[in-house]
Amino acid sequence: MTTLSRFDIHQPASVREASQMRAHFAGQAGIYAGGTELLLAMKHGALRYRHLIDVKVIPDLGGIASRDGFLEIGATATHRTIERSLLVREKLPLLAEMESHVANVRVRATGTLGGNLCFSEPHSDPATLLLVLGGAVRLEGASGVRELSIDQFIAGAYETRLSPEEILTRIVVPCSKPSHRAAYVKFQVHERPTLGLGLWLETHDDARSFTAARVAVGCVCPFPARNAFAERLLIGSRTEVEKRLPDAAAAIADAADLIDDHEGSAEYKRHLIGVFLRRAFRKALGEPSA
Amino acid sequence: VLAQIAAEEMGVPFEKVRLVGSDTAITLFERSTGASRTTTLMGRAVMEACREAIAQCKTMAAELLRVPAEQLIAERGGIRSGDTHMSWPEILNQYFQLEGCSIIGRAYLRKAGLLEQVPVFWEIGVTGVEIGVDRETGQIQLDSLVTVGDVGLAIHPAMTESQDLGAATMGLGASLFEQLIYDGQQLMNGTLLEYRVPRFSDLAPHIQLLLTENRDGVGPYGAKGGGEGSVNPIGPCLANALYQAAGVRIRTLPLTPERVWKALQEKRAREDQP
Repeated sequence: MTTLSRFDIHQPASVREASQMRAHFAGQAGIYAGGTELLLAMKHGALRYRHLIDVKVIPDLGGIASRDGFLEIGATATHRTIERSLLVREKLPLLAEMESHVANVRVRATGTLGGNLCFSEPHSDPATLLLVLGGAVRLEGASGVRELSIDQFIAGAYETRLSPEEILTRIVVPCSKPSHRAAYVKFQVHERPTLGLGLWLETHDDARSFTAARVAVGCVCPFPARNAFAERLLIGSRTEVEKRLPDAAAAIADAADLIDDHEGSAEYKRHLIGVFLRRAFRKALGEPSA
Repeated sequence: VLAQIAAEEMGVPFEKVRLVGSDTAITLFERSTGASRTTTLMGRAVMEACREAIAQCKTMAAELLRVPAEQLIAERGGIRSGDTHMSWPEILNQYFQLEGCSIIGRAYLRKAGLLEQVPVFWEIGVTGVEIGVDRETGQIQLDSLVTVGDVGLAIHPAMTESQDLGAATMGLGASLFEQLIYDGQQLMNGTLLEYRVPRFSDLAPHIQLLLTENRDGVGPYGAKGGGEGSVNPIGPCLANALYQAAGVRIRTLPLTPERVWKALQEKRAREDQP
C-alpha cells in the first residue's frame, strides 16, 4: 500500500496569486485541479511535491461560456460538468458525448478538463478530440496572456509547454457549424483506452465532398498527433475519400510509431486504426458503422 | 443457511436463531469450510446437533411429564405429549428450576455412513452463453447467460442463484480478460489499470439462473454444495460459442480481442489459399 507523503495545500484567491505561488515555489509546487491523476502519481512516488496549489477554489475558473462562435470552458470545469452542460450540448454536442465516456463517473465527477490537458496523459480522450476540433488553451502568467493550440501545448507524454509561472485558465473550442461533421471513437479493453481516434470534416454540397479535414489518434503513441498527409487524403469527393480511407489510416499508423505493449501488438493497433477511421467516418456522417 | 437449518430443526422462527461470529482462538477447528462444503457438512452437523439437543430435551420433558420419552413428539418449538405442549424454555426452566440455563447439542461428522464416499458430492454446474463477435476487432460481447446449478436443494435460493452468477462472472473474467503477464520474474500488469476484471457492463443483458433440486445430496434435506460450479464451464462455453459464431477454434484463454482477431486473420488466410 502506497501512501501520500506530506505536503501543504495553498488556496489562491485569483489566477494572478496562483501564478505568483508557482513562481515562488519554483518546481516544488504542483497544480491541484481534480487530483484524479496527480494524487495517484504522488502516491506511487512518480511525482513528489512539497506544495500543492489548489486552483479549484479560484472563483469563476470552472465556468462555461459561449462567445463569438467559440466555447470557453474554464480549466477547473469537471468532465461531468461539461458532459451535462446544456450549453456544450447545444454548441458542441460531440465534446459532451466524448466527455460522457471519459474513464468512469467517479473520475468524471472530480477530474477536470484543464487538469487532464496539463497532465498530458498519452491515453487522454479530450486531448485527441480537442486536437481535431481546433481547440486551444489560454495560459495566464506574469508575462501576460497567451493562447496555444492543443498541438502547440502538448510537448510529449506527460509534458506540456506550460511555463513555470503560468496557469491554464480556459479551453477555447470553435462551436460546431452546420457544415461540420465530427466523431470521436475509441477501442477499450483495459482501464485506459487502447485507441482513441478523432475526425473532423468540413463538408460542402450536403456532405458530398469535404473541403477540410483533421484526424488524430491518441493512446497508441506518446501524445495525440494529427497527420497532415492523412488529412490531405480526406479532402475531396465523398466517394474518393472513402476509397482513400485505408491509405489515410496507413499514413496515421506509420507516423504514430506504434509499439507492442500490453494494449496490443503494433500490428493489431495498425489494424485498429483502419477499422476505427472507417467507423469514425461513418459516425461523423451519421451512418451506421456496420 | 446454518441459521435456517437450526430454525427448521428446532421449530422456531428464523429470527430466534442467532449466528455468532466466533473467535477461532477459542472455537474448535472446523475442517470442512472450503470446496463449497459448508452447507453440506457444517449444515449437516448443525442439523444433527439440533436433533441431539431435542433428544436431550425429550429426556428432560419425559421426567417432568412422567411420560416415556418415546411417546413425546418434538413440535412447534417444543415437546408435545397429548394435549400438553412445553416450549424449549419451559422445559429448561422447569428441569433446572432456574431461569437462564442452557444445554449444548453436539454432532460429529466423519467419513462414515452417508459420508463414506469422498468427495461427498460432485458439484455439477452447467452454463450456456450467446455471444456477439466484432469480426473487425475480435471483441466478444456476451448477450445472454444461463447457469444451471445441481444443488440438491437450495436452502436459500436467492443466495444460491447469486453465487452461481458470481461464479459465472469470475469465469467470465478468466475467459475474456484476466491474465498475468511476466517479463522474466517480473509481473508486468500488477495493477487494475492493466489487469482487467469483469465490470457490470460486461454482464449479459439476459441472465437466467436455474437450479436443479433433486434432493439427492448428503447435506441437510438432500442439499449439496453450490456456488463454484459455474466458474469452469464459462471458458469452454465461450470458446465453443466463438467457434459456432466465427468458425475459429481457440484453445488458450483469455479470449482477448487481439487473440480472436489473429485467429480470424489466420482463418481468412487459409481460406484465401487456392
